[in-house]
Amino acid sequence: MRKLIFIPILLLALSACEQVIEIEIPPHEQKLVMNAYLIAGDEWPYPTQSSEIEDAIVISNSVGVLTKDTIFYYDDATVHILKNGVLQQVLTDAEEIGFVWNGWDDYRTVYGYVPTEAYQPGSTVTLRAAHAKFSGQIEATQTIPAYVPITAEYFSGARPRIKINFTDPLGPNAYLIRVHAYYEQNTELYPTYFYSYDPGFNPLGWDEWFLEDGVTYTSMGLLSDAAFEGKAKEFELFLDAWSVSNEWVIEVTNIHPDMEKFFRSYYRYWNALDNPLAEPANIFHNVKGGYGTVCAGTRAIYEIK
Amino acid sequence: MTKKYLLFHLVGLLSWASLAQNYTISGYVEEEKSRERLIGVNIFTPDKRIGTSTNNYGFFSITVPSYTQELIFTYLGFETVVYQSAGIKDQVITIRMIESSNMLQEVVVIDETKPIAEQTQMSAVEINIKQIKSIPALFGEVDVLRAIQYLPGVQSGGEGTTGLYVRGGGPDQNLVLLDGVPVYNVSHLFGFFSVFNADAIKSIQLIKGGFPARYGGRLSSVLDISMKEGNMQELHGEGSIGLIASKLTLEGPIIKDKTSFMISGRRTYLDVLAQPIIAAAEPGSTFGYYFTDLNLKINHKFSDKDRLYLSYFTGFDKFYLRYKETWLGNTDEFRANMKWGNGTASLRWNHLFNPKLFMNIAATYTRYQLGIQSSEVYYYPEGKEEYGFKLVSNIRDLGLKADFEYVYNPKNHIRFGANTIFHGFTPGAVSVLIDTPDEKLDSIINLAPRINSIETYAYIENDQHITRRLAINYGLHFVHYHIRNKDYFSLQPRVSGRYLLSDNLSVKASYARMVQYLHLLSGNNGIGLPSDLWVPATDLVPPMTSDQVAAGFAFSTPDGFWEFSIEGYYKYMNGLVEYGAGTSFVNPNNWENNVVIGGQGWAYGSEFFIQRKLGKSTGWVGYTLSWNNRQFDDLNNGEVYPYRFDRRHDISIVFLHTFSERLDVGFTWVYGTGVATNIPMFITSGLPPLNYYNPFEIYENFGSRNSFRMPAYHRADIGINFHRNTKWGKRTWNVSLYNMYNRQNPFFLFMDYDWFRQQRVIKQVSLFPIIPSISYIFKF
Repeated sequence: MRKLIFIPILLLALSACEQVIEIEIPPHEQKLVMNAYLIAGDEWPYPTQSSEIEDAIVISNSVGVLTKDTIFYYDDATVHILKNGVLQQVLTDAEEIGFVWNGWDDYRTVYGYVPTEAYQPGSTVTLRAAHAKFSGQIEATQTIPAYVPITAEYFSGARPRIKINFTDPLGPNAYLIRVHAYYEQNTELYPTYFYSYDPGFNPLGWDEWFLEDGVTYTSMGLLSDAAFEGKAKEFELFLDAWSVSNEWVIEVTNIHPDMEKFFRSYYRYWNALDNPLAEPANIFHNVKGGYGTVCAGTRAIYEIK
Repeated sequence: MTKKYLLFHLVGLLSWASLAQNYTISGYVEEEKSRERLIGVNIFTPDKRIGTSTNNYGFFSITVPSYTQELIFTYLGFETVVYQSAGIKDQVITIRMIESSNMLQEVVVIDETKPIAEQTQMSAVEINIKQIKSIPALFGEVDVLRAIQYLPGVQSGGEGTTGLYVRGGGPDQNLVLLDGVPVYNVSHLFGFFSVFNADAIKSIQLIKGGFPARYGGRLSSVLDISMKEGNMQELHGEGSIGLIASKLTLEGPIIKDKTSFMISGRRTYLDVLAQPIIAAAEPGSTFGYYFTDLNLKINHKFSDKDRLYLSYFTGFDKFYLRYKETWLGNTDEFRANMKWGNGTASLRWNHLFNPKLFMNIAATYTRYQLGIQSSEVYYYPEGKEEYGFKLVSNIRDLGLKADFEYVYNPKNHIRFGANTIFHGFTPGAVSVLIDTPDEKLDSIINLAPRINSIETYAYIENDQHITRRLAINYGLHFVHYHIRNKDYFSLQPRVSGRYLLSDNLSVKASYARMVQYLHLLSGNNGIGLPSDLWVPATDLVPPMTSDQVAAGFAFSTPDGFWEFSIEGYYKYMNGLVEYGAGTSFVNPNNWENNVVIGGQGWAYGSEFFIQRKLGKSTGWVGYTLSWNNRQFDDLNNGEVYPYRFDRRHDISIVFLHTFSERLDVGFTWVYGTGVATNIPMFITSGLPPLNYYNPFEIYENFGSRNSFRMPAYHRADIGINFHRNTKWGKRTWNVSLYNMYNRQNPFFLFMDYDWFRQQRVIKQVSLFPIIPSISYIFKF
């Protein structure tokens, strides 16, 4: 009978016999990568770290996943900006806009090409980029969405809420909605969590949680105009009950469909990354001849004090 | 006007063949010793011009011309019976067949009801359970579904798994019936074993295409499994003791020749055997895993015309963990377990109205449930604190159905019936218990609300022999499906036929439309994890449909030793559902918005099958050449991509040889093109969300969906059976080798970093190396 004890040991040993071998994948052909937000409308005057990113066009390279190559952020590329098909600017001087952890143990300086002229709502903007190490050019085109001015009002009480009013221009539009606040003792704006019962509103983010009545808190979300196409809209959002502030900054950005695709892909990507059971998700790319994301939006800001 | 026109022609067709003077012989075919009814017995007139076979209840009805004096009953492995007619009049009889005394005659690989060329039904095969027991198995645990994977057109999901992928469909697209009741989760232990205990099973039929109208509700296949009924004469039993599991089956009469029972149980015992080790290593703690299942069947014969069957099945897997820790007068007790499994039950009544009309009425129940439970109690000198959590997710069906078979004349065998199923879905419900001096909470949170739906179908089909050479099975399957305020209707035409080019060669063709009102949400492509979530078609997530056409040739040698078939098929699927990119099972809340809908699928290919059915050496070679693609507007930029189990080549070889009554061997070899998967192919920098606090991101890119192929899968297994008759019955020692040449087949891939080489690497994990096993089988 005592020998029986060896049976589970043998079985455990066999089942733990997972063998790990290395496999090859096809080599990757490096391509130029261009990333940029084309933001028009109200300036973002607040002290957050990303305002430089917003303005910059960043040119880099792709690398094969199994190579020792690393990503370079080029400061010697050439960027052409065309407005409605006409060359508007040629950018050759890049400036440092920050640092990025390049994977594993590598930190790199990020360079960006910053346009000198603002983007105009309704115009079609094409970005073209080239670099000596790569043949040909890569490009992406966006039509800058219309500017949609907003007003907003804060209502305190047991369920503090904000109502945002605007008039939707004709044509399909999607709005990125965020609320920022200065909290006590802070001088920097912070995103605020909120939820909405509006049927056209879709929360974005991985840092969401669920209440019994099914609402989802989020720090930003997308509002489709399918239900109020071309009409005046009053959008109501409910704030986190613990959000106590005297100043609110409401940000509503009329976004190009590519920005919506990018935002959705961004959260799917991060949601899937640490979940072995999740379907894999790719980041949205829309740069022809290379990789990267160029997406446009026109922002409206309203302050409640 | 059109309906009247069709009815006129239908009546005309039916009456056309009934002009001659005929009489009907009907009844049941039973096994002589056990009085168990036999399915698929071939019955024909001496000139072979008229024939039929017994249905799932052993019933047959054959209308023959007045000059017919004899009927011949054949069933592979049994002595042929010649019945002398008791005159030119309708008669109800019971035929008892004797198992062949020649053991070698039993060695039949696949037991079809009649020569393959003569069958009207195409893309169907019946599996002999005896043969399944001769095929080598993982850990020596005989597995029904794994044997079916060796057939052409049927693929396995991956290393060791029992999921069936039939002609490009997913594992959720198989209608698996156990005594007429759908079984939702067919796997134990994450898919390594099926829930079907081979000792409790009498027959298995797989239909891959050309579906008769009596079946519906799934797109890709029907797997119809019948449990043993139980010996009406005397008590018998069989069982086995294996490395990981043991099982025991008993069957016998409750009232001789009137009522019988069959009970069969199986349990793994790795957890029990490991307890001493765990207890020694971690005093006060225990953990383990096991699966178990129980089959029970009782049948009662009221008369030659009435019979009642009660079938019950339950099977579940369970992980459990317990520990207890005591310190300074405090005690912490923690318990957690995860349990998932099926339960099915059916009560069926067979009634013979007259020699031509047979009825089966059944009430059915099936349930699949996942439960996760944990509790922790702290005892301290002043009192205690208790915390509890429970998650339940389930699907329950209640059904009522009636099936009729009417033999109108020798050339028209009509089946009709109806079925109503009440589906109840609870995608996720959580209860939380907190009991502390400061806080008390005992509440239930519905992560996703319970959804009920009603699926009702009716069908009519006719198996018509238009001429001796041309036979057609045609029918209609009509479904009404109601959920919330939405009603779906579907009319599904089915037709299949064969034309005999010669006595042994036929050409066959079929078309079938199928509609499925259930979806399986699986973050792992349906390999059988308990997290797989069955959800209904709703107003937001429409049902799936498929249209399949198939055509081919079938040939059998005159001596019946060899059979060949080649079939080509094309299947278009619509309304497919997948998890959206980046989503998984984790959150059943709002699942309707977590899936992408409206997917299309195209599966097409050819299947080649060569089989030796009789003799000392039997077996088959199956080869499938296939393509399998999907398209969703919201996946892969709307572009067509290969399905995960798009395998270009799939080969199975099964060889069985009986050396003597005391020794036989089984050998199998399988090969399949590597499955399509996703791995990161390149890295790019990228934007963060606007105003986010990280300045820039690095993204891994997978390229096009399912664009990478895992290495090919191939494996050989061998098993040897040593039989011996004993005073009490018969015993068999089975020795087998799984993966005999130790192929490192891919299970999954992952990315790692090689610090020595300072670069990323992609690694493959293989699960099962060469695995020897031994088991002891007894029968009395």
